[in-house]
Amino acid sequence: MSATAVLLALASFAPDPGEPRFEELRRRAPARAWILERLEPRRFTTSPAFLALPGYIALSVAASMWQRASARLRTRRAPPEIERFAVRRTMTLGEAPGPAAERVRDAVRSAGFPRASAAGGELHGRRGALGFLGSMAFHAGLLATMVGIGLSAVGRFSGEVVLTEGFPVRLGPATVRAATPPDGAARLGGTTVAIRSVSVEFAPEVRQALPDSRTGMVDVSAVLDAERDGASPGRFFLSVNAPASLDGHQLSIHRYGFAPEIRATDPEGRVRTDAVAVLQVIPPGAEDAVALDGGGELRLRFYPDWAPRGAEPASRSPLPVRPVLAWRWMQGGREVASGLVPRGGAAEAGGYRIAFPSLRYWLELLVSRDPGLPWFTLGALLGVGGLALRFGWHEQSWRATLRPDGAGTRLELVLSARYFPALLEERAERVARALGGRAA
Amino acid sequence: MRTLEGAALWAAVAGYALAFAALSAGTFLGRERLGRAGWRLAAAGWAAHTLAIAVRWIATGHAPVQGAYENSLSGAWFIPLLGGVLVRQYRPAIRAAPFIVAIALLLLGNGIMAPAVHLPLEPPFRSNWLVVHVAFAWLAFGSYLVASVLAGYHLWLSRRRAAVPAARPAVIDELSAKLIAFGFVGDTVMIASGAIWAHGLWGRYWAWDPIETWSLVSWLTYAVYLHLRFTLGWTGSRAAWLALGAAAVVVVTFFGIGVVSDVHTQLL
Repeated sequence: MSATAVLLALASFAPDPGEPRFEELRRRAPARAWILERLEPRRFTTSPAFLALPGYIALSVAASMWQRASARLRTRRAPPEIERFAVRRTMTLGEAPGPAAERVRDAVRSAGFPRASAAGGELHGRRGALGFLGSMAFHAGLLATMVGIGLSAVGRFSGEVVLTEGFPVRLGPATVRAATPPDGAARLGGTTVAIRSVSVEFAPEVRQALPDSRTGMVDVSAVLDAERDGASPGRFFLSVNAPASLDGHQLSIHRYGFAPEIRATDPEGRVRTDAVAVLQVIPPGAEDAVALDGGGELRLRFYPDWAPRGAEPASRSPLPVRPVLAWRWMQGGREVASGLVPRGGAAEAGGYRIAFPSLRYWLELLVSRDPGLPWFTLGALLGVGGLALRFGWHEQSWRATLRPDGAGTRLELVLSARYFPALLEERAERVARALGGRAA
Repeated sequence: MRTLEGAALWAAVAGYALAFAALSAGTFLGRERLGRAGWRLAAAGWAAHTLAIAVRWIATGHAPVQGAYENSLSGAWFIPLLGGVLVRQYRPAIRAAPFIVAIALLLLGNGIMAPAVHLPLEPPFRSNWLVVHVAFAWLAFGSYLVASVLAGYHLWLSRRRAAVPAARPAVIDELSAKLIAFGFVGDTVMIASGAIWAHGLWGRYWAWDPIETWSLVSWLTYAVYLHLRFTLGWTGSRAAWLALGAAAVVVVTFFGIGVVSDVHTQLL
């Protein structure tokens, strides 16, 4: 465990190989870059060298559980034992054994020891089964978690799909991008999904004050319609923390943006694009490019709530109240025309014409399937429950022998616990004080 | 609301600062009455602290767990609470109280330096898992930090046994271990709830971002502590030094990695 912790701590400082400064390092010091690349946490934690450590821990945990369970079963019929640490007190109480026993019960109980049972002239109490079971449950949970992590490493699939309102998409390798593993999207084939009623909500008190920021956004939601071959259609409500579950896959909202419908016509009257453009909203006012048929591109900036600040184009809020597109037509690497076009309108410059008939939203959904999740969840539940039992009900036992001694009672008390001997002493002193007897 | 929150917060800071001074006088100068007064001042500070949290919660409409200010406000609340429970269980532990109050003050100070603007909860945080995840994180880290104070006190006490005859170093050592065990349960709940929440949000329960990695590192560190303590019988100074080292890992996790990395709370 120590080795795992140290290696993970080191790995967390390794830079992301995707960063530009890492490319620089690769050029300057290839050997150092080679080492750091292998220490990058995602890569490092799936390397056989690292996986050997949790594998070893899992074997050790399993062996320890087996050993402890066997030992427990062997001794289950033995009489209650005194635990590892014991404190003995002998004293004489003023009353007869009957009333003295009652006082002993109360004093021992108030010091946190288990309830008393009586046998012959003896009182005793024991607690420990739950603590033992808790320890076993925790370690079983640890094993289940490790199985889950292993299954996730082998069988997890993730990908992204971009859906624009009103445009159904058939899920599969052609439409699910960034698929890991690349052939994992094939299992999605046969399902067509579409989104509608997309809503991006902002808190009313801040949407005016912080127009150029995502701060103040409170939710993104949509309705997802799914049609599967040979199955009845499904309808799901999607929001940021409410993913949809479809054919064993989870679909969760990851990003959103605006999708203006655009029709671009060149001076010769040829329609160079007639589609919806998927525009970014972060950072606000970011420029996106849309490729044009026959070469060139259209560069677009989107202002959802058009309110120019002097000569500067700007948006008053992130809500699509007065949507305006700023466009630049690029041909051969240079700008040939530019202008502004509001929703429902068209603009023309130098014979280049842009129409912006409607505005929709697009959503990027994360598509994932993780066979390790049930094991991980089971492991987490067992782990938490097991730990609570382990530390809340650790092994303790006590025994009190009461014998008549003249008009009073001679008490021999043994208090024991598996852990915390100094606290046991403290509790024993509390019991002795509560009983108030005369030390023998 | 903001005025009330600010007043309650500064009352809490004043209460803790005065409590620190009085408890320190009680501990280091042996002035028992000052120590008792310090404890009452800390309790008053904590009451004001609770009020500040309640007012903030009502004003923002969500649990104060978003951003550095709110996290410090909530996190610092657990420290005196755990200290109070501890002293109630073992009165001589009051001599460690100045350091417990000092941690609460430092955390609050860290929060006061951050912007306290009222913001609605961002979309990823709109989950029932949020309160579970953050509350258990603070419960765990609070327990670890208070346990490390006790570990330090144990080391001090072991060398100056005659200075505080009422306090038994072995009991202080065991209380530190108990708090670590308690914190470990909270830590496990924090990691498990965060992972399950992350799966619903990002389609994966673990991504090895720096905070996740360091949370696991601190969990493993305390797992090592517990095994060394309860299986191999490490107690006394060895266990105390280990508890102090493990607390350093927690501090790195939360105030080192947590401050420089925002990957853990990536938004839309």
